[in-house]
Amino acid sequence: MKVDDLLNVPQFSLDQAEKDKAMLVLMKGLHEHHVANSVAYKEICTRVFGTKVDFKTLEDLPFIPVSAFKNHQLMSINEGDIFKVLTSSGTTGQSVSRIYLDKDTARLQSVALSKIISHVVGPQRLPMLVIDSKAVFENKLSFSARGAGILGLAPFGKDHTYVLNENFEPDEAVLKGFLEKYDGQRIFIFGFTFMVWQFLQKANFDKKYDLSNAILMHSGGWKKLIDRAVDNATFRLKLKEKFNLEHIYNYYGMVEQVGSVFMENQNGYLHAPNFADVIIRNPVDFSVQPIGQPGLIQVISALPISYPGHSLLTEDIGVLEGVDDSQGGWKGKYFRILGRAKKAELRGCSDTFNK
Amino acid sequence: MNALKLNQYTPHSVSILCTELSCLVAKNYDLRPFDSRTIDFLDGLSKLILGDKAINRRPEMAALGFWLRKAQLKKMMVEQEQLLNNPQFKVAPIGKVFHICPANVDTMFMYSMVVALLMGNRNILRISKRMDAPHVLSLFDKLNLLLEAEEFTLFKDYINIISYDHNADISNYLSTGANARLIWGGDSTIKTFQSFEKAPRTKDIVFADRISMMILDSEKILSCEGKAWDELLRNFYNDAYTFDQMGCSSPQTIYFLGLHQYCEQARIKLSKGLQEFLLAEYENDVSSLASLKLNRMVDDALEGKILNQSGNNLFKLLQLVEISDSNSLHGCGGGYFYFKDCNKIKDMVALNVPKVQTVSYFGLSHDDKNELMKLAYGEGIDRIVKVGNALNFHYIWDGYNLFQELSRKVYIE
Repeated sequence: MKVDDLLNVPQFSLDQAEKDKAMLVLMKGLHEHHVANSVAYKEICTRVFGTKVDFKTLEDLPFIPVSAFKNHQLMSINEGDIFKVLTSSGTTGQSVSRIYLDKDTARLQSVALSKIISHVVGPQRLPMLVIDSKAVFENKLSFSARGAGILGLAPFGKDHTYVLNENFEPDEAVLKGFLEKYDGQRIFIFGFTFMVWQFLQKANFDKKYDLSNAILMHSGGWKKLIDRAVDNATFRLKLKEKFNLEHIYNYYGMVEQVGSVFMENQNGYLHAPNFADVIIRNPVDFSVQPIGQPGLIQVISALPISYPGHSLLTEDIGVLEGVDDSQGGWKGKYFRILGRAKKAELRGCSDTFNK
Repeated sequence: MNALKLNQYTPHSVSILCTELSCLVAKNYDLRPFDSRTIDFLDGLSKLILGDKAINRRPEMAALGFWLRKAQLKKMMVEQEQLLNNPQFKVAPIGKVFHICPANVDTMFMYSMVVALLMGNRNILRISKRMDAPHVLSLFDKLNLLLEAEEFTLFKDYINIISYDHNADISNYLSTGANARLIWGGDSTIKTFQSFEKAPRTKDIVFADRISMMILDSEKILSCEGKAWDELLRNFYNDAYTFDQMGCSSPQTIYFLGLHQYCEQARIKLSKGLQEFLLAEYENDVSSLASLKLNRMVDDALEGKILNQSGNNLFKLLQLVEISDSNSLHGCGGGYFYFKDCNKIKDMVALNVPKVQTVSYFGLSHDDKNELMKLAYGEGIDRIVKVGNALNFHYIWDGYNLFQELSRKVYIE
């Protein structure tokens, strides 16, 4: 069993039983690989998860908190084999995650991403509208997440058009020009969720453009929109009302597991691809939550070879909605994100001045 | 001049220049140490607190109310006999005391003030703007109400409760005007305030970052049943969880005393009992606690501090490696306890470091306590108290007798 076996069959096609079987073999192998090649991973496993290595199911796999990549250098390769270092977006003052890739892992990531995206967009490169600014590549602070997102998806489009100018102001002429040119045709739209809302859904047009054949892919989280009382259902509804836009795909991914993308389909739930999975954990004792019970989201991916990021506990809270029975025939687990665990606010004695 | 404006809550609510504070303007010192008028004033406050149903159900408010009763104050006076009636000297106030109060303990500013007031000092208390909980605001109201009574108006020149945003000019002014500063709030606050100007004779009484420990006799844990057991769980909870385990006096490390197999069983029993108790009682966002603790466990594992972990995300136990430095043993809070098994108190030499403040205990014999006291004859351990009393204020704090510290001894021939 190799990860390529899971990449090369159509995504979202394996039912959970098949997938569990295949993933268990791969993940056991990855675990052993990281134990052998990352002292840090081995220490974490021994001291936090005990020495048990007899996995009966994927649920027995140790999980590392995503923040560990901020505080520690975690890799399973020699420094000489580092091909690329990915960093997470962090607002000023926050530490950033550093993810070390070798050529193999980088290749797997890009193959995996391509398999998932082409599953949704199709094999042809479509005219691509980017709800962002080209300047995002120049701005070192905001580059990492947004820039990487765009760069990752750009190969799936052509005639790339950015709707924000260099100063991150909406350029209506550009937006209208693009929509006019491709009105009613198959196009690919990409942007961060909040920006899609702000600069596409809320843009003023003289006429109604027809985006019924367009495919919108968006990501980046709901926090800013939830503050404005916009949830996924509203988001989808408003875009449908305004543009007849129906092919909307939110996705969930993180720099710590690039390529391993959980994709939304028409039902509005996120789906695990063949080579990745999700487990919802009870925050009290990390036991596994059944369908319908919210908890912290653990993400599992067969891609990370150069760094021990194959099993991560996120700080996101989600709920499993079902397994193998999604509308549209996508197999495996599907889930929903409810929010993010708050930063713990614990008051201490060192707590008087300047606050 | 606006730069010197601050908010005053007591004696009445007003925006005021720091140069106008009544404690700084007033000249005469009318109150003697443990003046009967001060005792009446505080007893009056006690009655107002204990009589207010809206706040007296809060344990910290009730504790404050009881602590302020006349009988309790008289008891403290008797305990200060050596200080108050000493043939070698007379005792006098130190003068104007500037209190920099902690934000985490809602009632701490009151204890700080009362000790100083009992010695006849004037008090300027800087409190955090975040202390805006209804029960805290209600304390200001009660003080202000009492200060309006004719017999207590003189106390208006003795109590100024204020707040202001970080402002070096105000801090310089108040520090220079003060005869003593009580600096709560740990290392960083102390550092900040020591950078301000002060008079050469201004005395600083500082409360630095400290860590605290707990010693549990394993056999006593195992034999504890029924009501006593419930009480122990409640006491443990009060010590550790009241301030999310982040108070200086909240235990960070638990020493299980006894033979290894008893320690093991005691841990299992305690874990089970506390986990059930916490599920019902501890209100916190457990998802954030789970992330916080997992992150800390990874850090501790990679720093080689811990051998293993057990328990759940409400009560987490981390076994320490054999040799560990007590100075650095501060967990992430919210129920994250390092532990060690120990056969004898004597072996707990790690406790004998300046950083250790409180050692709370359960089930220790008289001999054990003597051994513990021997450990305190070193550089650390300022308090040895029963489990359940770790957070209780006492005028002996951090190695100081605050009545002593806040008074002058006048030599008269």
